[in-house]
Amino acid sequence: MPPPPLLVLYGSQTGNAQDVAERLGREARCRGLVPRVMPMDAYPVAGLPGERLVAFVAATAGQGVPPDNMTAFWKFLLRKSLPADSLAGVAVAAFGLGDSGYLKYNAVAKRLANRLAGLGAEPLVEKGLGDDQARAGYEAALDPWLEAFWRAVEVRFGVQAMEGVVGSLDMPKFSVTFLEEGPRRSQAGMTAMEEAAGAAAAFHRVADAAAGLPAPADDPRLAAAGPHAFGPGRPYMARMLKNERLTSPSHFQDVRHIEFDLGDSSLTYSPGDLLVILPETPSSAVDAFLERAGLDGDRWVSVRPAGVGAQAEAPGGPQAQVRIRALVQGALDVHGASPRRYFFDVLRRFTAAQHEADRLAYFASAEGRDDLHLYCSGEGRTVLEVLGDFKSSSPPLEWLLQCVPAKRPRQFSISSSPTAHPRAAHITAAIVEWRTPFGRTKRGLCTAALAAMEPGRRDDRVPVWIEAGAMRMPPNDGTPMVLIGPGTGVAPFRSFLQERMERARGRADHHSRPTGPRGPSPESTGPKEQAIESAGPKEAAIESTSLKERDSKSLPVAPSWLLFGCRNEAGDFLYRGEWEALRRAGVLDGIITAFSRDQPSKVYVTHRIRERGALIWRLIGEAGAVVYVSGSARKMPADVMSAIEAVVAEHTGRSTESAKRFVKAMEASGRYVVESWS
Amino acid sequence: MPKGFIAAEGTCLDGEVLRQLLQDQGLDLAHVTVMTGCKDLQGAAVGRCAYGSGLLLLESPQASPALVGRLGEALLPGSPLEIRLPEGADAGEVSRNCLLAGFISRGVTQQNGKVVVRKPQWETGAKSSITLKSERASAPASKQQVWSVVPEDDELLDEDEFLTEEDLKPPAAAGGGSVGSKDAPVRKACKNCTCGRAEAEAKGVKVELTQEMLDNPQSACGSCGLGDGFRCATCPYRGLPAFEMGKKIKLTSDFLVADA
Repeated sequence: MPPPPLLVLYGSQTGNAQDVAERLGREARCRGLVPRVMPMDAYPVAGLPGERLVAFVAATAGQGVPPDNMTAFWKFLLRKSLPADSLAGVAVAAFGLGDSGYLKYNAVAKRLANRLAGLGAEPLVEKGLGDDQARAGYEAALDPWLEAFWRAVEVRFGVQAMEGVVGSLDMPKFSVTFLEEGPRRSQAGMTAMEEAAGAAAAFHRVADAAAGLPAPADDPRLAAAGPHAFGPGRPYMARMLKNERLTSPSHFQDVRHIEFDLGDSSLTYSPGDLLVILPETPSSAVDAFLERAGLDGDRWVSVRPAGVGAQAEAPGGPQAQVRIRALVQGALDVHGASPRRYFFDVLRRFTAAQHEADRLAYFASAEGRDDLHLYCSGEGRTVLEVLGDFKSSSPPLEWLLQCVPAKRPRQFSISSSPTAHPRAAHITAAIVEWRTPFGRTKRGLCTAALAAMEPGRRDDRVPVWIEAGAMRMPPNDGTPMVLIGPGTGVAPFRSFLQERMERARGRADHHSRPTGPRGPSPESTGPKEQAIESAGPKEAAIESTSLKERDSKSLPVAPSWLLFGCRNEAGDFLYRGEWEALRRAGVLDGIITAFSRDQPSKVYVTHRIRERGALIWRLIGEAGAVVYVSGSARKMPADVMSAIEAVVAEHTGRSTESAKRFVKAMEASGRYVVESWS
Repeated sequence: MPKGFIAAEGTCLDGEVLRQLLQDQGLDLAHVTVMTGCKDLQGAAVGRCAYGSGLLLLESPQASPALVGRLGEALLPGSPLEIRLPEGADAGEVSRNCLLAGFISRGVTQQNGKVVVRKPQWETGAKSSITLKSERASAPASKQQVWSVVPEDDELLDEDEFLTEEDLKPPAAAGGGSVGSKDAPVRKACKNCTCGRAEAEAKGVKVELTQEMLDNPQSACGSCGLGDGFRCATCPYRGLPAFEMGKKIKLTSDFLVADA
């Protein structure tokens, strides 16, 4: 039987699912197969019925959400009219990456596996479910699943591991040529981070070509903005205007209010958008890495897809001509993210000392999986640290490019309104710092650098650009908002409310219809809301004045409600002083707070939602309010949704099922929006 | 033939207006129920799934999802609801509120002061399997083409239909103990541990790091000094830099602080 063409499709957000898919590909090559490995969205989905053997690797991000590079593929699979026997004759296998600490654990892989079966596909093996909570992370489930997969492939297709092959046959992805001198194009006038970002973008294009992916379509926003727009390949170097600690000095967490000057960049944003920062690796770490790897940072190299034959070497082919230092700074994370098992596998091949090579082989094996997790990812071990522990290991540059984790930009919700603060963007950043199990203090690469910067220092610039966020304000200013944002989740809501305040003052230059329907005023739909409360668990003053008391004719903007939770009123009540001004301006009807640790029993925003059910229902059901949920806590969005469902059920007499459907319909029609991050 | 209803938000409904509406809807008095003052309509007053068509005369510029929802419950599945809008009302806003109340998106039309929505074919709580019979006229020849003829604007299934009861149950406790906790059981001691630590731990005695060990670090197995990469899970030197036997270990200041 000729070997079947194997297709490996993945949906990966952080690169882990991609790493698993690539491992599958390597093991396939060991068996004489020629696999195609690519993100789901890069595959022409209409061809799926014609395949014979397809392996799927799908990560679940956040609250049951599929990664970006599989959304179009998945949407296609959900089409109602696909015949139920479409995938008859296609053997499939699925492995999911998830975190059982979240609700909807591994939902993406589960839904995918069920849909494939529903379309007639033949499952070769039971789906595998990798769990970040497991002792060795997702690798614990992966090893046995791969064994089962290959056994099944052997039985079904007669494919066997090739004789005499130990471990995996691995092909280099890149070929690196050291150049005598750089290109004539001058780098003068470009800062180190600008050069690094450009080098990284060029390298990513080569990596995509090496993976056989089509050249990515340009981001329509960038395309519209013209060839000089700012983005990942060309960030804007923003000056820092302010860097203030918001939490009290004795509070355990350092949360900063940071303002960036967007100056003459003509970068614009809408409330709800994200400021994206390319974090800078400290130059001492870059130097240490270059020295350890035996590389001259100032040397120019040409990086191309590795390939035998003329095509790869053709002068017109994809290549990146970059300085090594810029490439390391922009594309590689040597001082932050922990490397994966594959890194240890590669290191092993280039290690002189036997005891080190043995240890690396152990870490790269199934037996060593738990110890690897203990040593590496559980301990926040960086690439530099691993290289420091295995001193005789010297992988060449092309292999480092293949196995060192990619440096990833960090996204922050913008907490300023563009109208209130033209040419500036504010963020609300919790500085990441933690103690590892072995007792070492670790700091986040990006936030540690931000925390140390001083506004006004001319050379302290940060590479940034803007990306669209998931949340948008309602198109009509007359629509009230219910804003649920504990902790730093409140950031985008500061942007929303500042923007509404500007619009209320008539300063904004936007296109909403000020004469649109505003929704019924509170007194017409039921008993007036009891505004000021003195009894009960401690809350910040909840004061609401009815619309009658304000001059409603001058106010086209509907007032909203903010629900904010944190640990202590005195410790981390972010932007406390600002909410009062927004309330006086009439854009905020009231703020409901939950200080979880200010009393013996824990009080969260979910408790408040249930306590204030009548108000919440009136806003959602009668006034047509849009609910926004934002924050970084794992279970918070799911808990909030349950609380809202309970409120709907209680105040409409619906069953729980029916209330769930109501909230689902809200989500589908854009009335319930969630943005959460881990 | 099922009756239709005409619902007016206002308290009074003019007879001439009613006559015109009956004519528009193709109804006669024998087959219509008229409701007025619907703003405060209680669900119990209107029947459930009793009407084949409905018309709502709005007075206020918005149709609240609650009101539309109650009227929706009165309709038979698949039936239309026509909403007559007053001046200044926003048809788009009204449609959105209808979606919110459970009406489906297909079949929504908006034109000159009117919005028409449709109650979904399935009643709440009903389950129906996805039918296999193909409703399209031509069946394409080869497998590859099957998926290319699917219409672009095809209706999408609800992805959560593909999560079963079983799928939604939380998984069995994973892993067993958090990674890196000091109580994590040792899988493998040092390859050639000769210092007796392995035996001590097996007896339940925990070896703690002392100042003496920092001043004069020793290791019988020889692995402790090589750094974290070679230390076993319960090595007392875990987290410390690599060291030479007998040479004092330099520490960062926060290291000896006891874990909270």
